[in-house]
Amino acid sequence: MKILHTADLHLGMKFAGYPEVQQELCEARFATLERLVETANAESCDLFIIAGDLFDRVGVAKRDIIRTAGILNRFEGKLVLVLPGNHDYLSPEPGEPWTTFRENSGDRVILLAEKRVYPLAHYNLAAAVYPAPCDAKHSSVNSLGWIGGTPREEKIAFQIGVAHGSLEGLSPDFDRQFYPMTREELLECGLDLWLLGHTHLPFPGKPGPRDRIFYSATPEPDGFDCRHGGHAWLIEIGEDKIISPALLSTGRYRFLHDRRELRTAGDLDRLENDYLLPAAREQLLKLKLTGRLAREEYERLPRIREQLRQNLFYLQWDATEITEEITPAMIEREFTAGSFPHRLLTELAREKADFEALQKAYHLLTELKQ
Amino acid sequence: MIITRIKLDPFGGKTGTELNFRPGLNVILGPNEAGKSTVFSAVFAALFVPAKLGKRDLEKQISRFLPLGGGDTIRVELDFSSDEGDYRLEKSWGGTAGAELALPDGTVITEEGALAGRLSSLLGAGEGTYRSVLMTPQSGLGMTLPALREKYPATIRELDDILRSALLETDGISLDLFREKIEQEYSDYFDHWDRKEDYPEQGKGIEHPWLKLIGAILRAFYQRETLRKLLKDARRLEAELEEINRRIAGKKEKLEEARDYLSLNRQAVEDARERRVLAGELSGQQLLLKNLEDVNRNWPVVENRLAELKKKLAELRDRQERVAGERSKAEANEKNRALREKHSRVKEKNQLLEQSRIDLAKCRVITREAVRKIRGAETEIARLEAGLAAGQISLKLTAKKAARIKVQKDLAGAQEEELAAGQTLELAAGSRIGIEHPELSIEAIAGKRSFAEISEEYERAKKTHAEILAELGLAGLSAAESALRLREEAEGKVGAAQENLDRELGEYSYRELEEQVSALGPAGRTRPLPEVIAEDEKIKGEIRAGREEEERGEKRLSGYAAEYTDQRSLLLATAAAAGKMKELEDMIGSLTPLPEGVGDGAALIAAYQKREEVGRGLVQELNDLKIEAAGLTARLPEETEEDLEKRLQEAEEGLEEVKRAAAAIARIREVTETLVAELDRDTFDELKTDLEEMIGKLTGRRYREVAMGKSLPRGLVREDGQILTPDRLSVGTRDELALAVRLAMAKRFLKTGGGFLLLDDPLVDLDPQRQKAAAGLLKDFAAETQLLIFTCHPRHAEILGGNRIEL
Repeated sequence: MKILHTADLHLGMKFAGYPEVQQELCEARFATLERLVETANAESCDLFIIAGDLFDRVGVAKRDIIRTAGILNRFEGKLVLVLPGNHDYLSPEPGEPWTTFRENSGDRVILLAEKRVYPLAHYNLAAAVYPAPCDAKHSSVNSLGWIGGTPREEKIAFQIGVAHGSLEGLSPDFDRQFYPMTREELLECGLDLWLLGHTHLPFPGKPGPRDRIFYSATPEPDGFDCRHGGHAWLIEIGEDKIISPALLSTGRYRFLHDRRELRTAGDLDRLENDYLLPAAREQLLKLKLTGRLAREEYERLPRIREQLRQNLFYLQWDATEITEEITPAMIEREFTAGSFPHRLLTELAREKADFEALQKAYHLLTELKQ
Repeated sequence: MIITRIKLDPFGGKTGTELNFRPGLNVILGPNEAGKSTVFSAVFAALFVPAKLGKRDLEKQISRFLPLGGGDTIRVELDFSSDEGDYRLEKSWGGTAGAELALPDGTVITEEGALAGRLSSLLGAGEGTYRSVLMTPQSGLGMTLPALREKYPATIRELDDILRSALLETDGISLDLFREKIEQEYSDYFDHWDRKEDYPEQGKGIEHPWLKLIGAILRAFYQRETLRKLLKDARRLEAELEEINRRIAGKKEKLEEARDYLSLNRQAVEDARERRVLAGELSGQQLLLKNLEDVNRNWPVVENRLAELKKKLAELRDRQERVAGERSKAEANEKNRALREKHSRVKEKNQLLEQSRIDLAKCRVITREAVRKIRGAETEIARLEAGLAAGQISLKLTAKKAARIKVQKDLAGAQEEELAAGQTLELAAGSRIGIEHPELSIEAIAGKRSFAEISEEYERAKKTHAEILAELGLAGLSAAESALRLREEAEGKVGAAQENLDRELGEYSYRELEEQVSALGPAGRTRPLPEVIAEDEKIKGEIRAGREEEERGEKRLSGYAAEYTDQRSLLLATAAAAGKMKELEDMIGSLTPLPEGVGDGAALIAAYQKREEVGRGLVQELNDLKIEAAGLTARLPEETEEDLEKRLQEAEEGLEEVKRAAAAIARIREVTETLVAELDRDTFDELKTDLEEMIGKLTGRRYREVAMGKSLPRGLVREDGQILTPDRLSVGTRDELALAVRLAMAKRFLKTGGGFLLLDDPLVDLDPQRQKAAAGLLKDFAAETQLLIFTCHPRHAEILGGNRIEL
């Protein structure tokens, strides 16, 4: 049996903080889902399991829901299993997004809406699924409670748990409000495999043969707090119940956060080298520059910025903490001793805290001089 | 720059007028209306008024200089020289407008922008400065210092700049421009931002934001606050939605419970309702059967009873008839008995009357009159006796020998007295004492009336008295009175008996009564009337009761017959009712039994209905909650809490960046202001020195010190140190100060690049001594700078000397 395990697609995410590339980022998430389905088809997966947060919110646009259902309908394996996560939780009174989703998804797409065993024998799979769906955005109690006491059917070869929430020691959930779970809790349920969603990092980092708990991570990075390239698990289960996981790289765009100190021409060269590569064309870079540069180097910055802007998919350039190095010698050379500009710049050059003011004053005076 | 020639051809009434100037002092002399103002205007127009003007500007600035005799074009030629060489400026306005500046190298500038720029650099000061300081028209010289400050602030700023240029000129930077830029940037960052409070001015946060003049910090702050609010709202909405969803889940659970209960108990409740209906029917059937049985039992009983009643009633009626007869008799007896008793009483009373009459007849016949007469006679007798007894007569006699005498006292009878010899007899009477002795009669009388008379009356009275009594047969008055009393009592008894009898008789006469009683015959024998009446009434009551019972019985029988026809039919109906009852009991027995623990069907139905009610309430509450949830879902922002958190973090960073950049500008501004204050402390020293030197010369050293207020003097310092502001100076001194200010300012303006000063009659308001001093000063000024002075006073021209040009 082969499973493609993904989660946290957050379809319909708005990316309002990226007005220049908003549309592309929104679109990329759908494209990633399409690729996942294609991969699953290519790998002849039996199950396509989404462990929560397929949608970004319950109020996601109807057209996005219909489109999503359409993509999932293309899965050629036996079943698509979708768990409501804490972003697209299943409200007690069935509403959106799941009403529209159900109306538009095919027979082989099952919403794991209930806390009950979903036997898969009907689909010619010797497995049963134990879901822990979310019914609210926040909850200090996870949805695993029902599983422990539920009797197992001996005939079923493989028991698969699907849950959404934080995992102690792995997910940052300091207020314990995202259906917190522990490894012990999961393992005590006695299932053969846990496919989880919520934490946007893939887990385990290096899976071993005894690992039973998997987080797929988001398949498409969704912000500068996402440091990886997007992943999903391709899990193969042998008849001897041996689990063989393979981590897939699935994302298109990559969010990078880079804070660098620039002091020399070499630093500038490295900056160019790092981000003028073809691979950077699908990177979103939040670049924070610090340090002081000699005029010659400082004057290279606008050009580098423009090059990066053209090559990168998106650039957040913060050069507020990098200044041109204006030395006393420069001031002596360019301004008459005792004159107002000379006195002003000399005063500002005294303290490091004034370097930004010094640079600003210098450029203003230079402009006026011209 | 030195103006060497001007030609007006034509301009303001001058055609072909050409004036030549030299470096130094030039005095243009001409009487009023000779055209001095025209030449002044021509110089200004050539230097500062563009050739190509709009209609409005042409009208305002040029039209007054058009030839009066016709022609639509005016023209000025101005020659001047500088260190580079000679220039010629030609400008014409109106119909043929154009400008041309021929440069020393022979090249020509005709584009007006470039031409103005070139002229500006040659003139050393801007148009405003020329207008306010270097080319003062008539009366302009006397302009007060405050007016200069107010009317030409740009000139003052320029002067300040010039004065500071000693420190800046090498770097070619305008301090004021720099400051303006810094101020602009400062405003761009800090508009409506309170740096001290680190908050929008006047506490105008996002709820009541500033709408205009929003600095970069404020903008970033509002962006951050907007996101904070969005995030807060989003969290609140999420929390509200979660709460509502929790409530929906809770209500649904309860609803499910209620539905389970209803589903489980529906049949039992339906059967309980059926049982209630059947039990009602059964109860009715039982009642019917009981009724039928009662009728079955009662029908013959009632019939028998009726038969008995008929018999009894017949007997009672016979008996009653008999008693009624007795009753009539008893009632008649009762009625006659009263008459008889009345008759008996009358008879008795009549006997009493007869007896009283007999008693009366036995009484002496005496009247009250007779008694009165007796009493009168006795009274008369007593009166006469009393009259005799009333006198006092006494007699004492002594018998000399024994003697028998008769003594009569008053009317009393004579009494014999035996007197012994020597015995003394003392007699006393009222009115008379008579003594009879055979030998004598002695009468002793008291009073005047004759005893005989009295005695006669007395006897008469006695006779009357005696006669009456004799007639009545009575002894005296008391007997008479007693007899009268007895008679009157007897008469009273007769009257009373008569009255008693009359009353008893009433309307009857005694005879009538006698006749009626006689007619009654003897009284019949009956039981006492009450006894007879009681028995009669008792029998009547029994008859009545019997009759009523009979009617009831008959009614019941007729009812039975109406309902059941006859007793056979009644039996059939009873059998049918019993069958129906059995059927109902079987039906009830086949219904679903009540759930365990439920007391009765009513309790089950009540509990069921209550659950139904709860269910309906829950459905309603769920609907309300769903509507509320739908409303909240619709209000959820398009961005999730997490997206907003990210954006808020970026906005926080953005605000900090703006603040850091703003802090840099604030720091530049702060250092700049400190430096400017330091520079201003000595930048005006040179101007002050020039002014003090000039005012010293003009006032004959009366004033040597000037109190400066930056580039313009505040006043002159008197010897005692008192500062005299311009309004406290004499007119002459004020004019001297104004001239000195202009010359000093002109000196500063023109120091760097040549230019000229043009004054209109600067000596006109000064006294001769001051004119002389002023002329000296002007000559000194002209030694370094070209000075053109217009005057209409030949005397002033003479004092001034220089190159005289007459118009």
